[in-house]
Amino acid sequence: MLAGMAPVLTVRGLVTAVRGPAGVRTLLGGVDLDVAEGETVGLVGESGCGKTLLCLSVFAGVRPFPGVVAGEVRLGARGAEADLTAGLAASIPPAIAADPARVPDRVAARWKARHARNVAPFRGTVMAYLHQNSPQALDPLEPVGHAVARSIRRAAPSVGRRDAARRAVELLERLALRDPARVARCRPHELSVGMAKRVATAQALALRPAILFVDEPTTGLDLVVQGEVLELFREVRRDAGTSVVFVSHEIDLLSHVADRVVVLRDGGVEDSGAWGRYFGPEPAASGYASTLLGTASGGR
Amino acid sequence: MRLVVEALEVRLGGHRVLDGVAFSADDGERLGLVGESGSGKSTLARAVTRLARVDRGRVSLGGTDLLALRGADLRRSRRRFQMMFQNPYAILDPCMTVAGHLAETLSVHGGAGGSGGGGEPAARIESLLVRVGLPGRGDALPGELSGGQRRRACLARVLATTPELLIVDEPTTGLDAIARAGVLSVLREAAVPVPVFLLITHDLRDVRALCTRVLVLHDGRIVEDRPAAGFTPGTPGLHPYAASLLDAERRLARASNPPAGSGTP
Repeated sequence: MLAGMAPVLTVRGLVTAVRGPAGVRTLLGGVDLDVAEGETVGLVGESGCGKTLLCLSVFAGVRPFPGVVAGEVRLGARGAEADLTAGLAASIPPAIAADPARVPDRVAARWKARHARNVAPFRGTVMAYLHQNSPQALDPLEPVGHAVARSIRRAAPSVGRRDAARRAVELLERLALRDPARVARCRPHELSVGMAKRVATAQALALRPAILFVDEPTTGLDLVVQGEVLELFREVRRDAGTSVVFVSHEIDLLSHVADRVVVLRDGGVEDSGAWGRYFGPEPAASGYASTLLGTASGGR
Repeated sequence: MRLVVEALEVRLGGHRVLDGVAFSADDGERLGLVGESGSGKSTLARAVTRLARVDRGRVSLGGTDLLALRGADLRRSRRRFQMMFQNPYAILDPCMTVAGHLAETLSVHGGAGGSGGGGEPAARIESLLVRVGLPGRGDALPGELSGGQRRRACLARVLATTPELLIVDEPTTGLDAIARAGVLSVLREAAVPVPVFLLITHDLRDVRALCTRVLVLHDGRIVEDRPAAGFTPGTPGLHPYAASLLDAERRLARASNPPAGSGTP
């Protein structure tokens, strides 16, 4: 975390378990994460290390059960301080939390409902999540311009319908969509995956959340468009002071937008720090982190 | 010339997705095809491999007119031109083992022979798995494999037919650095005995790692066709889109000056 800045999000000892074909497995084993106001944190790690699961855990979206069984998630945005895991620790006996396989489904369902109730007042307003498979989150029957305009009005209810529609087209243009007025009238199936991905990004940015989680927002986009999307994220951070948790495999790209990186490995934080820790003259990172971050730039 | 594509035109919903695409390749050439999302890269691959309707043009592979093939001739010839699809999650049957997929391909395309190795199916399957770096994983179900491993399983399947033309559509998209390096090294080896190899990607680093030539598709036409080694910023006569692509790559290279507030080493 940046020194002297208030944390917008504090995660402590987060444990998440999921039931799979081989039984219940604990996939996040006590994760700590701090995100300061206006800070962008790059979240990196091999496929399957728990990056997406960490995002879902914060938003109470883990399925199937048991989901989040221990830990604390605290929101510290201005005017929106809350303990998102309030009541969880009290209702989960420590003996059971230590062995998530013993949690009966109906108990897990109750916890999850409670966690989701805690998150609900802030979701889509104070905190937002741009899913990895974001095109699937668009309503297939709704012209995408309406969807973006809806987000704009949600963040600023005083904006009129017509004004919101105009701003939606402007935002689509900022995301390097050619002929944005035509795109705004399209339904998701009329767009390529790369275009739909940018529409979903526009929708998330339009919410103007205090903290935004984005899961591989540039995967599958060409380099020119990646550059435009990145520029927009930089601008949002500068102008709106939005904190961003940016999940990506593209280390070079992250080096342009993230203040620091958190390296996840097998469900735990392996290493974290500012870029200088990894790219500086005297690298001091863990061997694994430098392999992961180093391989990404060279060797090809 | 092993592969010749001439004046290829594909219309989808009144929109001309491919508008007179032309290129050719000799044996041993490794082509890298890049372009905007929505520029028609995958459509081009599907048109060449007879998976999309073509409105006009000619595609010839080893002297065979591919667009003229019909019925049983087309089915028999399919082993000669294969594509590894973009989404490995949508391609593999979740209930079929990796070896099952390969056995099916071998039985459909019969005695493809060649570098897949002769002999018993089981031995040929294992030799394919070794080639893609999945030795002994024939019993695995797709759900038990990581994203990178699934791509290698898909690669084994297309290699099973010993194709003359192999098209690989975005093989490294969404992979972490470690999985990506693994897939690239396997691809580099696997491409060696394939006469014509065509890589579709957004990543110019992949083109440099695997290809001898680069093709840039823009607005349904090939606007650049030059040796991969000569595809660098400032090259005279670059098409504006190609120049903007190279410029974007340069700007997105690892920041020497990471964002403000990133602290000291």
